[in-house]
Amino acid sequence: MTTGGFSYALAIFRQDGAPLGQFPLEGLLDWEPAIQWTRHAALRAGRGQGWRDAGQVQPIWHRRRGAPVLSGVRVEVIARDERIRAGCEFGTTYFADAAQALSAGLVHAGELVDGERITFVAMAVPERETPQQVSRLARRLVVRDDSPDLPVTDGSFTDAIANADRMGEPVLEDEIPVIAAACVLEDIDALSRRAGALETGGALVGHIVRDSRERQVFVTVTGQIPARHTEASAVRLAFTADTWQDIRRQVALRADGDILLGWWHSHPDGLDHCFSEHDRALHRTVFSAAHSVAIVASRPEPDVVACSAWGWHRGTLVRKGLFVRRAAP
Amino acid sequence: MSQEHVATLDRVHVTDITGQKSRALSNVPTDATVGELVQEMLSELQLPLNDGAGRPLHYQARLEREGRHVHGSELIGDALEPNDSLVLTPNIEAGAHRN
Repeated sequence: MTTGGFSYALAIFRQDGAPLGQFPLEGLLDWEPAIQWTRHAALRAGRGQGWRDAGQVQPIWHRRRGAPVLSGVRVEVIARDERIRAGCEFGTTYFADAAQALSAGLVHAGELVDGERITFVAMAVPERETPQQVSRLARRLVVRDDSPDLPVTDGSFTDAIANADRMGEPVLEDEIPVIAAACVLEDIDALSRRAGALETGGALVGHIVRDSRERQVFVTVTGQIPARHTEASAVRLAFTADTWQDIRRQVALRADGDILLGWWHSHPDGLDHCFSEHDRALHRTVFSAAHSVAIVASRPEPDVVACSAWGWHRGTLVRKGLFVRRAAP
Repeated sequence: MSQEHVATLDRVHVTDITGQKSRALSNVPTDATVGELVQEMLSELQLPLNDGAGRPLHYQARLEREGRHVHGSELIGDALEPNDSLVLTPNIEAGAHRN
């Protein structure tokens, strides 16, 4: 990722406006979700695929306050033949996760009280050139990005949701809709109950579909693969290297061109219905593509399994709704 | 001045679990370790180095040809051949949050 000669920072303020300082964001800003969202936006707009994995970020200066204060950033992806670019703009809310991490550090240092609210101003300043340490391996290695295009099929969004009910959160603007077969949620329900007091989980498989007429990209979740070789407790579920290998093998055996779309896991009796920092980290690590989806199955009451869906929206992880497709009569 | 002559390996593929991020490598020095290659590829593929608690993530490199995880200390020249594929897989935890 190139940053156009700028490094990014946040000025943080208490709720009453008192300044807490300016903090560089090196190591705290993760541009990958923004790059992935930009590639998705290009796909939705019909601009095709074949984008390099790396991208570029450029500051958008605050119209009234001017540099170095930002009103947002523009992220661009570049085609592999370097002939065309596609871009997407992100507001300063993209910096919220970094602000949260900084405020946690300030709480730890005793400069903020836990739960105290802050505000922030995002800034970009000219980057100082510092000598980069390059390993002997990196000096020699020749690397070519040969990432495949996403397997996208054509389809009608209207037809896909014709026999589906909306569940959970209302539709977000620019949302990547997720349509899950009812049997998938039934399987998740059954596996969660069978696991009892332990967390359990699995992978979600299905298709990415583009509706060229409505300029819409959506995903259909057609199945789930139970995760094996995990290490589970009441509050923890470890996906090991063997877990992922088994999932890859199972995906390869599936018919109809199913691909790995995301994952699910359960929160057993009495635990909160949320997407924890560990869950977010797993999703970012394995499922950074914009279309990826996670389902959390929690049990607020002994006989009730409630599913919530989570996914990327403009580069941040949000709780989202689901369309649940009813089984054909 | 002496020049360093190191044997190299070509046509090695490295991917993430989903297969949606992939790199074709050439001129890979055979006297480097698989662990060094994995570290370099984590940066190249934009894979996180830490988990949700800030602890270092442990990635294994699965060698598809042999169906095994290659140890990080193994030399590239000993473990890999041309046209080999490595899949980077993390050991990573999900977990519920308690208020």
